[in-house]
Amino acid sequence: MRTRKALLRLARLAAVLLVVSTLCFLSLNLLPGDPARAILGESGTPESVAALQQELGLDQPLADRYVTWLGNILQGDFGRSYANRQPVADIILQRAPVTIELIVLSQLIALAVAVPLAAVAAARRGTAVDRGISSLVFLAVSVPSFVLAFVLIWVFAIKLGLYPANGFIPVSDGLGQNLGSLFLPALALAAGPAALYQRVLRADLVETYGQEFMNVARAKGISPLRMAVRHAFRPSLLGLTTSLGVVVGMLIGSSVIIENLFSLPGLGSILAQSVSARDYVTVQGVVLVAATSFVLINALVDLLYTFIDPRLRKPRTRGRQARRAREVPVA
Amino acid sequence: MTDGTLLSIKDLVVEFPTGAGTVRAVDHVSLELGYGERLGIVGESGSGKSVLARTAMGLTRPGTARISGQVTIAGHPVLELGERRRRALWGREVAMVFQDPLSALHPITPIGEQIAEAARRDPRTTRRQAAARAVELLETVGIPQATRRVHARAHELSGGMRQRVAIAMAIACRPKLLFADEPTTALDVTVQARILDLFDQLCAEFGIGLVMVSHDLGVVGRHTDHVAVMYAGRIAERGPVRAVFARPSMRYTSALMAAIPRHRAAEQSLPRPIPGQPPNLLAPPPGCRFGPRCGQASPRCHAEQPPLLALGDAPGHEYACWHPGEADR
Repeated sequence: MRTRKALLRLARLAAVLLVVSTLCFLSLNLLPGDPARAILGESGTPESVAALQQELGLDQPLADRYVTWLGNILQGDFGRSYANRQPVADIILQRAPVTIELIVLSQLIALAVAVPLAAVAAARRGTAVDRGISSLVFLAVSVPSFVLAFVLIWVFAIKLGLYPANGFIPVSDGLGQNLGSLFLPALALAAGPAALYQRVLRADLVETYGQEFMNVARAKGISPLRMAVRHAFRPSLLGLTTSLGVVVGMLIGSSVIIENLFSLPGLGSILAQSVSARDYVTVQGVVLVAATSFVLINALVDLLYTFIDPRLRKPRTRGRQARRAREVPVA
Repeated sequence: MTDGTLLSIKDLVVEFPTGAGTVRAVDHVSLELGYGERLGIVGESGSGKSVLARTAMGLTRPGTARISGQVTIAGHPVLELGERRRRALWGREVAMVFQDPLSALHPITPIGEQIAEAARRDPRTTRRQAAARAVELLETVGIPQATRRVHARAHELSGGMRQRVAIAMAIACRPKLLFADEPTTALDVTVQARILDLFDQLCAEFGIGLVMVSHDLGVVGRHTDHVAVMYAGRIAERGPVRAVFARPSMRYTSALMAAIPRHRAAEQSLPRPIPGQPPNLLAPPPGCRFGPRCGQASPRCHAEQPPLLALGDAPGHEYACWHPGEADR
């Protein structure tokens, strides 16, 4: 029974990925404009354009191109960049770690800020402390990450000189240096999500505090701290988990701006470069990787639910959290 | 302890400020309970019985209600203590069993851990001892295969089992006083009887004093020593169960008794419902609060609040009625 469910889930995941890859392929191949002409520019003669089209396989029917493309992707061949003939797979492998580190770091910062703030706000719900935190959070969610990035660069890099304003230092040059070079961009990417996490977790915590089992815990003589950590926290995690999955997916997109601002050699900056260079093959590869990551992360989140709340493992689920978790769409 | 009184409530008033005005949920209530005694508090929904129990235990938050009067539990002046010092009593000297055992148990934490947590309220208990105690307590409250069941979660148990777990949690540190707030209302009738028997057994075995809040006079009559009937925040009648049942003197008590379904042929008559609704506590009627629903009310009933008067038949039997006597059958 359990294996059948797991297989079913895998099959569904595969179907979603197939759809994602198809959309990814179509969206770029149905764009107006001819990549061969774009590459050759004004100087291209009709003959050289036709030759290049043939070389790139663009003279084939769309369906054939799709099958070839998908077959190659499955073998790890993402094609070669139109811009510099480098294999797109190499470009992605080289740049992905920077983006992953940036996103992971930013989300660790966001959680480190949001979780305690949510816990305090929920335990003191309705008080000045709660309202103060809410205002702060509202401010954070209102500032776009690129505006925050400028402020951070100005304060921390230019005025205080604490962190570099741009550039990436690999781990091989020292972990401290590496983290320092990512600190400001990670902070810029953390603010918005931190605000979202605080609001979501606070709301869930407040709902949990309203449940009878919290009154029972109090009547047992449990301290407020232990009540928050041991009783309230875990039943309140589903909203946060869902948000985390969605945000991480969206950050792959937001990183385009931040990586450009801070000159980080990640996926976001290569995406921007490839779009302006009309390097469609690279764009396609990066978008596919981003979309696939989004799907996989959210599949992982689905799986996480059952660890957070074992009631969700049962086919017949009951209760508030169970209902809500089921309403979360699959990827 | 000091004077043999386990629980003493004196002149307790609990008011909740609402947008529409102040609701006086408990209105000058005084009660006493000795060690090992069992008291039933009976009343309709909204009569203030649950608020009375929660406030007596010190659970009503001072920020949400205006509270005056005195409550003493085993010599501790509960209402004068801050939250931290009340917490020292909760789970150790006094505990509560709540109405709906499904929402009262933590949805994710295994029941064994929840009971062990309660047992750990005694600082001398180690983690290992608490885990062993959880198994022992599950056996005490009549859950078979306790060693296996400690790993179960609330949603995997039946309603009766859940309430047994909640009871195990409440008695983990052998409290002197146990409040039970409608402990069987959420359960099937057949399960109800067994849970009530369990309360009887635990009270007798461990000498626990019990305050059982219920809307069911029949339940209270069979499983407590004393009964207090509440109506619209006030005590309508109280006394030893036998005395009150033998000679219900306040009209509301007799009406409640007439509303109990009976099975025996000699008493065969359909239960008689009490007409009308309990009064709106935002604007309670003057005089006797039961007046508007009482068939025997006189002008005096609508003008003057009857005081609690002692009745000669048994010590402690008191009623608040201008025209005592059984309702016409």
